[in-house]
Amino acid sequence: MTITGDVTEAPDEPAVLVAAIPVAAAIGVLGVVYGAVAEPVLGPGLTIASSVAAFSGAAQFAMVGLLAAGGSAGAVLASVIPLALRHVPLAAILRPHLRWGRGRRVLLSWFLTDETVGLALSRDAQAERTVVLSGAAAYSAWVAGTVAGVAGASLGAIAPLAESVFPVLFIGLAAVTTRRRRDAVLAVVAAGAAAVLLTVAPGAGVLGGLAVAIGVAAAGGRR
Amino acid sequence: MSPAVLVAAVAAITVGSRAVSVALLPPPRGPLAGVVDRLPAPLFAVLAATTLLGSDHASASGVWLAAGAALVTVRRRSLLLTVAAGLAGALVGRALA
Repeated sequence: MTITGDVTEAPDEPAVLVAAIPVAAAIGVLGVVYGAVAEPVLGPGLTIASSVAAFSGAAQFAMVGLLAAGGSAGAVLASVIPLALRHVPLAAILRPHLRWGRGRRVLLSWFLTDETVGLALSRDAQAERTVVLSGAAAYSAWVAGTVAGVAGASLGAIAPLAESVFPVLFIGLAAVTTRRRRDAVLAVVAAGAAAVLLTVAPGAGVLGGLAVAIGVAAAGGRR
Repeated sequence: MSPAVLVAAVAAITVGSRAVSVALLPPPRGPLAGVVDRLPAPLFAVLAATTLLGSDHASASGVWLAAGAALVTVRRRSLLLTVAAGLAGALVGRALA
């Protein structure tokens, strides 16, 4: 049993790890795909190093995709910066659940991903512990998947699943972070608005989607 | 810029944005706290829409069947169940294609 200040908490690491299994499995599959796609572009060593150092599927796929298409370094950085801005709203929604001081939060930030934040918000357990445990599982799966992809591993029969992993994962995270009927309504409205935006302006991308989510959350508080 | 320097720059931007956001953002207060409290579900719903519509495979029936199967399970609020249902939907879509 862990005592934190005057809060007594039962150990629930196994439950957190069980909840992290689908996340880690999905990220591991994408890691294999990334390793296989990136190896001809970056070479084996740099491909693995990129996963070890960045731990960001979206940024790494954007980088490799642009380089493979002949894009410049400037184009890569211009595409990665908007993706990195996603961390601001993620940190904002996680921040009220964090009790650690600034120094420990910096260490925690290594595991700040869409998936770990979603899991932390969906559980009653201490948010820091959920982020660290699920983040460690996801990071291990991402690096191991990358190594396997570089080594020529084939996804075999599950290869077609790779393209569906992230939409499904985010639908699940939207569900587990829905605590009230109002959250469900806002989620549906936001998804619909984002779909319209991306249909009308496909270039709006992640930043456009973030603006939609924040706008819907802001409007959702008005009576 | 060499590929190694570019990878280092991408890692620095990604890791730095995480660290700065988590370390420096204060807990939201006032009206902003309400917005942040309502933000998670819309945020993940938007990311689902973005990955679904922004994907190179958005026209593939398997992706849409996966999303549909995942949506059927959302009332249970189980990530494991939703992912399993979604991937089963993707396999069905693949078999039907």
